[in-house]
Amino acid sequence: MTSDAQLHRPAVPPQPAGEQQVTQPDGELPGWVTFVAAGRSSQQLAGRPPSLRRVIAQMVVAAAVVALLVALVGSALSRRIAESQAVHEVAKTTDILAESVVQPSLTNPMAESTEAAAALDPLVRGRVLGGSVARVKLWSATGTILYSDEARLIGLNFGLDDGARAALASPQTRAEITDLSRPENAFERSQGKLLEVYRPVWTPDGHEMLFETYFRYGEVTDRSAQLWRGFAGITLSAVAVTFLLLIPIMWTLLRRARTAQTQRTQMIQRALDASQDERQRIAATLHDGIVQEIAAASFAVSAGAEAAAAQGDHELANRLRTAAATVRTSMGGLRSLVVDIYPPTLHTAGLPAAVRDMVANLSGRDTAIELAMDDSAAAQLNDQEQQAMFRIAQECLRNVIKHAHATEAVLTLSGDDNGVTLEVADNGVGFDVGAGRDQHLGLSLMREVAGEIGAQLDVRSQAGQGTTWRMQIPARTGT
Amino acid sequence: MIRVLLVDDHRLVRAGLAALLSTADDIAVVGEAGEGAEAVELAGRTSPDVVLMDLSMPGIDGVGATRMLSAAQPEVRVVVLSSFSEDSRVRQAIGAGAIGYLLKDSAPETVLAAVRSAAEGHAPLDPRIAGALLPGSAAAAPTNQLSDRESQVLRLAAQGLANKQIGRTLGITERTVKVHLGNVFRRIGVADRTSAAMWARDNLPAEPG
Repeated sequence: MTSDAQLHRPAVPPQPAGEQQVTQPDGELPGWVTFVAAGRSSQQLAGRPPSLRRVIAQMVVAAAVVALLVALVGSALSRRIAESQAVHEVAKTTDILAESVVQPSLTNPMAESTEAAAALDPLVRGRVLGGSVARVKLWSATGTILYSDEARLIGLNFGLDDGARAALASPQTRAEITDLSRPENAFERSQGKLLEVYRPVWTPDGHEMLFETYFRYGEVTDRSAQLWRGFAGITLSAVAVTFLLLIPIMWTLLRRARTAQTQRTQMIQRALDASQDERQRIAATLHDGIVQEIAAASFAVSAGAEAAAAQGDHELANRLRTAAATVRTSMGGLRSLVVDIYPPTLHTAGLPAAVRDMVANLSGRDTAIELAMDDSAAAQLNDQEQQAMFRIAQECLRNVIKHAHATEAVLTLSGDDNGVTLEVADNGVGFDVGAGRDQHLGLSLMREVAGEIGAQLDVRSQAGQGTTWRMQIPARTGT
Repeated sequence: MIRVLLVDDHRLVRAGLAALLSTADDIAVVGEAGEGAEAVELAGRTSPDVVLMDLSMPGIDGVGATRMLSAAQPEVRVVVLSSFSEDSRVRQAIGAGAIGYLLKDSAPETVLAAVRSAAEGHAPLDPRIAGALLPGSAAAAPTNQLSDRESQVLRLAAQGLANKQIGRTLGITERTVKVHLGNVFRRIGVADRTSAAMWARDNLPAEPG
């Protein structure tokens, strides 16, 4: 998969002259295949490092996200902690109330009779209710409410839930968020969120009852807010300090990255310039030195041949003539090599003139080459771009002549606000764009040349349909 | 006797040429110059019939020296002997007043014949570069002459065809048509299609064949 033939040998025999159109309207040909995508030139590919302002903006956003996360997690966490602390506290309060206030006032009949239990009312209202305690209930072991500060509940039987039964079975104090949907809590619904705590109490003769208190949830919320304030203050100031400490580090890193980048760009640019200078220098050295010396030698040897002939030494004369002819032939080869390395008119007369010269000198053409060049388009391009476009044009036309078996080719150079476009279209045999396009030396040269200056290179071709190459150099924005 | 002045910044080339020319009985080298100003000065003193002129030289180059010579001594015939074959160089040299153009890898008899032919007032051109001066060549631009293709495009545009239709008729792309028309407008000095169409009616010969 290395040869030109792979790409250019026709899959169908070449069409007779004149029967093909050089190009056809869009739609009748296969679409463009992008060979090199337009973009920053390879010397700029590494890109500039981001500006300090942008990095700081990104850091501010990041810090804001972190702060928000901290706030969310922190508030959830502090609520949880506050709740568990509050639960613990209300359980303790309830224990104290039960043991120091309720238990000592219990009498034996209270275990059976709501009337007896009503005697607790003044005590409850005086010493238990108020503050954060919103309701008090005293249950029998079978689930009847023997006493409550809410009179409508007294005497009703709701049964005991699992929690309550467990508290009775192994005497303990339990606290939980009140389930306001349960029927026994119908009268507490207006109070908002509540915490309930229950524990067993005993009459003097040992009858077991369940003492239940309800606490307002506001306590928990207040506690949670208090915790949250402390927590948030510390965390957010830590985020802010980290951020402030990061700025100088980021700045230093950025500055280093930029310096490195600048140096790299300069080095690549220098290398490119050097390669162009080198070509120019080699061409000049060949032309001004070796080509001239060969010319001198050819004249001198020719003169020697004539002198030998004049003296009657025809054998020597013929030998010298042959030598002179050989020298002239190598001079011709050297001259076209010089033009290949660096077209002398490109720099002095510009791209269109150099292309005209090149086309005029293309050897072995059976292909009529039509030129349509807008001279002002080329004026948009700098030296490097003109050289790149010249080399693409040269390579395209060489391919047309060597491989395409085309009768006609059209080279179009045009420009507009978007940039400069070179098109080389032929009516030759075409090639399968998909196959082996990485193997061809000429094509990889074209890829390299276009990539170097950030040009777009597209090709449209198909066996038997001709080939169109299109190179676009985007207009420079700004500067 | 044809009096010849050699101008080339390479001493070896001058020596080789002088040796070659000295083999001809009817040619005499009357002077050698290594750059343009010296050539003009020497030509003033030696009054040569023919100057063999190199193009790329330090200081005043061949084109500049040719221009100065043809202004100062119009009777002197300048034949360029260069290793450049680019059309734009050829046109520059001829434009400056050279009557002949040879490439340095020409055969010795060609060089001798060119000197004699220039001395007789003819214009010796290397066949390899003569194409640069033909009006029909791709390289003949930029002149005010329209190329065949440009005339075709203009004729179709004058008939009222749009660029796309012109392209389809001629088998070229719309973009190519546009560039051709732009060049046509500039050459005939008009700004739009209508003016171009009027110009075509008055100036363009009817379609050949």
